[in-house]
Amino acid sequence: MKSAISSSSNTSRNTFAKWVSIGLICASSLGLAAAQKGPLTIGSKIDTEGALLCQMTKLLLEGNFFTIKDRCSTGTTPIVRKALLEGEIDLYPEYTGNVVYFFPEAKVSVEIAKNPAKIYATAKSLDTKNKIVWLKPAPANNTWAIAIPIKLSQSENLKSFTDLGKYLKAGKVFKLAASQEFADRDDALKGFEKAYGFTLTPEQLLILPGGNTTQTETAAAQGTSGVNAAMAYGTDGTISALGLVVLNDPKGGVAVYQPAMTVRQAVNSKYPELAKLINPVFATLTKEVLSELNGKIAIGGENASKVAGDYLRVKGFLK
Amino acid sequence: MDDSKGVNMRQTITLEGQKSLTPQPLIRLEGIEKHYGSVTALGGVSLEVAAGEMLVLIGPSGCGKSTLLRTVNRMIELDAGQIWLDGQELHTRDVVELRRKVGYAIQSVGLFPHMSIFENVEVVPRLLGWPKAKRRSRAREMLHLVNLEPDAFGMRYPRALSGGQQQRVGIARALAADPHILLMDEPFGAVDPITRERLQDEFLRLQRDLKKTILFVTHDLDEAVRLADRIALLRSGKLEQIATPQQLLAHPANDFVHAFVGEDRALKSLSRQTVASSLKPLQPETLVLGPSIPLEGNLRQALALLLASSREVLPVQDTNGKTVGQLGLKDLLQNDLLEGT
Amino acid sequence: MVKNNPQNPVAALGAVLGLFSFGLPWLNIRPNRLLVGDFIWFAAGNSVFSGLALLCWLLVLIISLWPQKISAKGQILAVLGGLAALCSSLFLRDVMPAFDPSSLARASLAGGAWVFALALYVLGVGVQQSAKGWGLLLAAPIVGLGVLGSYSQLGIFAEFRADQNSFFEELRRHMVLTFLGVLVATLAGLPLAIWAARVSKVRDLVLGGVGFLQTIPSLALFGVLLPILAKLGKTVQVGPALLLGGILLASSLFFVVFPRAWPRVRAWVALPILLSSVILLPLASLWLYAFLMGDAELLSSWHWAAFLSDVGLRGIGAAPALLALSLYALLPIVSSTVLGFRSIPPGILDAAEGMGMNPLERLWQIELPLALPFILAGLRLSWVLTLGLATIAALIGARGLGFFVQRGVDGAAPDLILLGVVPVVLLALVSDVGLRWLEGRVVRG
Ligand SMILES: Nc1ncnc2c1ncn2[C@@H]1O[C@H](COP(=O)(O)OP(=O)(O)OP(=O)(O)O)[C@@H](O)[C@H]1O
Ligand SMILES: [Mg+2]
Repeated sequence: MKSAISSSSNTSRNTFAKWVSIGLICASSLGLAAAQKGPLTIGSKIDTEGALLCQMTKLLLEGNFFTIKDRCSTGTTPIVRKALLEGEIDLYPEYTGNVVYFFPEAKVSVEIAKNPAKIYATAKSLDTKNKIVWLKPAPANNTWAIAIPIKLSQSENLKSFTDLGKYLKAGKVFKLAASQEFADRDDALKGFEKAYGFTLTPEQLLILPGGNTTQTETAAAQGTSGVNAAMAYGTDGTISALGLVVLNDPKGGVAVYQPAMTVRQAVNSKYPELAKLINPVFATLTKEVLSELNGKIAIGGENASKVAGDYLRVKGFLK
Repeated sequence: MDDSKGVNMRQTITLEGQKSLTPQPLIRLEGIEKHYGSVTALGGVSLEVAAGEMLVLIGPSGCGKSTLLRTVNRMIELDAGQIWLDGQELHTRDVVELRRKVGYAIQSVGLFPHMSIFENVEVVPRLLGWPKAKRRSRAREMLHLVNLEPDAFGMRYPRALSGGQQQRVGIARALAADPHILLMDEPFGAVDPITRERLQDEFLRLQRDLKKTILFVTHDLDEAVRLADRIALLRSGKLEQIATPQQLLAHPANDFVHAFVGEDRALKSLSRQTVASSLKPLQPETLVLGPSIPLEGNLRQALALLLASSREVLPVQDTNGKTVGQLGLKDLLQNDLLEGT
Repeated sequence: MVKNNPQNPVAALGAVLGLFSFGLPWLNIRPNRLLVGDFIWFAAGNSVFSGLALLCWLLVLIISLWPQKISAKGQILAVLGGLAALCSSLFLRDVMPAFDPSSLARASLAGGAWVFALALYVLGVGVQQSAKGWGLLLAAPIVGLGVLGSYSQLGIFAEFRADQNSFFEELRRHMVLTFLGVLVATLAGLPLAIWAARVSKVRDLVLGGVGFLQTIPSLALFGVLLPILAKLGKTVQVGPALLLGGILLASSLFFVVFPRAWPRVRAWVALPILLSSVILLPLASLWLYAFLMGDAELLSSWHWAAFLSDVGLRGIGAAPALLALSLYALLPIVSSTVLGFRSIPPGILDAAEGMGMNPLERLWQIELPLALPFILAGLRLSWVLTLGLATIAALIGARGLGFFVQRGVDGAAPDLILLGVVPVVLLALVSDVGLRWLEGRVVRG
């Protein structure tokens, strides 16, 4: 990495850049007058929580004398992941459960995937060969879930997947909006089906192309195309605002997805303080906290950067 | 690449006492060949064009007329043979400079649609870097020459001109930089017969004053007979005969030429002779009233008038309407038409 | 044809659409930005304005179909349409909930309002046919009330307020990405097209290749570009890249200027030009990108020893987006330029050659002017297409207006999608009209 470019000490060898824009150099070197670390490039997935965690980490690090290049909302999961592996970005928030998907050849068992500590350890060890470090995950499981309208839950006494099994056996009306991935993966819908002994017919599934949870939840809330249940994530902030409720999963049917910062090893060893800064913040991000913050963005339409900044200041991580 | 060969050829050709058909040949082709795969467009043609002469190339479609013409300004490179212009071998001259010095007019006219008539005529002078004022006055002069009023036509664009007017502009453009050699490929091809005849007349008049050296391609024998000093008849890339129009019509060199000039060659020959050349003194019994023959016409037109009027003899009048003599069917018959002059 | 017919069928179609819009809901009052709430219909407004608007459209329909000639018909239609627009805007203002920044509730325009907008556009096209310039009158009331802030409760403006700073930043970025994409495609595409127009073998190859590029899905393209650009950026330095590009360019220019230095090289001169542009164009566009975005830090990174990644050539961000946009923008430019050159009658080229124009003079004085209308049309098409296509930049972290679309789709927030889409559509419409006007002037002049 050529990080010397932005340090103000080597302007002497830099005649070309001076020629290009002397004034601009002056301006930027003024800005860099404090002893700055980095620059680090941060990225994220496009979704709400990705943007939130990305902005939060960015503001946190900037408050602690890092120069950060903001690549938040970089792209879809494969793109961000590839960007990290290629060193295009230095860190981004990922979910522990996704190692199942990143390392199909490792054949991570459902048993491991369902255990928060084990799946985190697996993620950590599998990614060492990619020179990627996983920081401590947040105590929030953003795993797959199924949400139904509160009215339905109350009228049919549907509280958990066990109840759902009985409900389905009674042949009552059910239609689930979900993504293709949710329907296909062993640790998602199939995990629930196996754990609770039910099987959805194709007519009971509405696959939404693109299929993310805000879409499926909105469909369930509005009863679009007869949908009365939605694929959801545990930390979605939209669920209660849309009048939905998540079915309990007493048996732990599917993999655990805890958000954790993934960092390139080179960067992590150069700046060991990264973990010391980020881990305490992530430790406060419980399911309830994330739901609330996500809700502010998804429902309230607030800016992710503003929501993240407010939270950091309230919690005293930033002055 | 063909340098060594070129030197040899030049030596053989410039030998003293080399027989020339014409004095001071301005254009000389020596054994030129051009092949496209198995097609022979030119199979060894040699000919010369004298200064101020108009040589008309004629022959059936695909015989190589255009190809021959285009070798002279090097738009087509020869496979064999050599060409001299003004005593200089073509390849010793810069091709772009050569083309600017040789006027070029083609059948489809090729006027540039995005340029005004003035600009079209000024193309070569502009390429030669003439100053603007000189260019413009030259363009006006040229338009006058081809009977187009510069003020009425100069600022128009080609699409606002009739086909015949466009062809005049094409000729004005070819003449603009005052080249002493002109290459013309069916320049009157795309207009109706009446307009063509008028253009031909005007062009003959022009040529009498300008005395350009002209290679002219046509596939219309009448046009060739009317315009040419000499006609070169091509077949399949070979020269069949080269002669004055009268000679060609009177003495076809072989069956092909004979067939090509056709059974009406005597009639065609009449068009080469002026009424003036066969004018007889007016006899008292000749009716002066009624139809008459114009003095400046040719014998073919005179014959047509005689036949149309059902008379044996008609008076001849000059442009002022003054009767200057007479001409009869007998006079035409006595004329040894196919012997020419 | 239009002039002889006293009726104006296009304006009539606009009127039919305008009347049709009354059969649809106009406004959607949502409890929050995700949910679909209650619809408000035109009749339910209890407002005199809805009746007036209806009347205006009826008059437009009758007048546009009137079989006799009416003087100043276009002007009358424009005024009536403008009145309809004004009344509808006032109606919307009346039924719009009061502005309350603390509430989650949103108002969104519903089907009727959109059909109404379409109706105005169609009527505008019809009016322009008989009364040039008067079509603008139709947009005036809407723009006027917009400026007065009558629609501030609309969801799209709520999204705008939440993200105001980044909106203008992304709008600017969107324009810059589009501009540079078309610029690079033009600089690379014109020579390529000219070469293709001349040599039939090259033509098949180029047109085929450029067409093939169009068929590559953008995500797949980004997937391929990411590792390549990342690797390049980290291994190659600015100095050597500029040097290599410069040498290639200089050597090919040498053969263009002195074509007889090595006669047999001719057509192959294009090759080093192509190679050098493959190197120089992306670098130039990256510099321009930093410059146009006012990115001082990126600009100051330019020096000989810097790695390309430092000046922005990375697997994510502007570089792959620019590259993809330039590649996609090639087709309209190349195909229309080739068409333009091929449509020049051979007799004209023959005359130009025979009169002693050298190839460069032929290009500048004959071919380019004659192909110009085609080239300009290709540029316009390319610009309009790229404006829309630039929304894919968000897929690879280059943002632009597609950023809002993407987040809106992802968050199922229709107003956020609109915040990205509406400016793109407006930009495309405006620039299409503007460029057509410019084209007309250039071609006629
Ligand atoms: N570029 C070319 N490639 C292949 N063959 C050609 C080419 N140009 C001319 N020919 C062939 O060479 C021959 C002579 O062509 P040319 O154009 O000289 O004929 P022409 O006498 O002018 O005929 P026309 O009276 O129809 O104009 C023809 O058989 C033609 O098909
Ligand atoms: Mg020909």
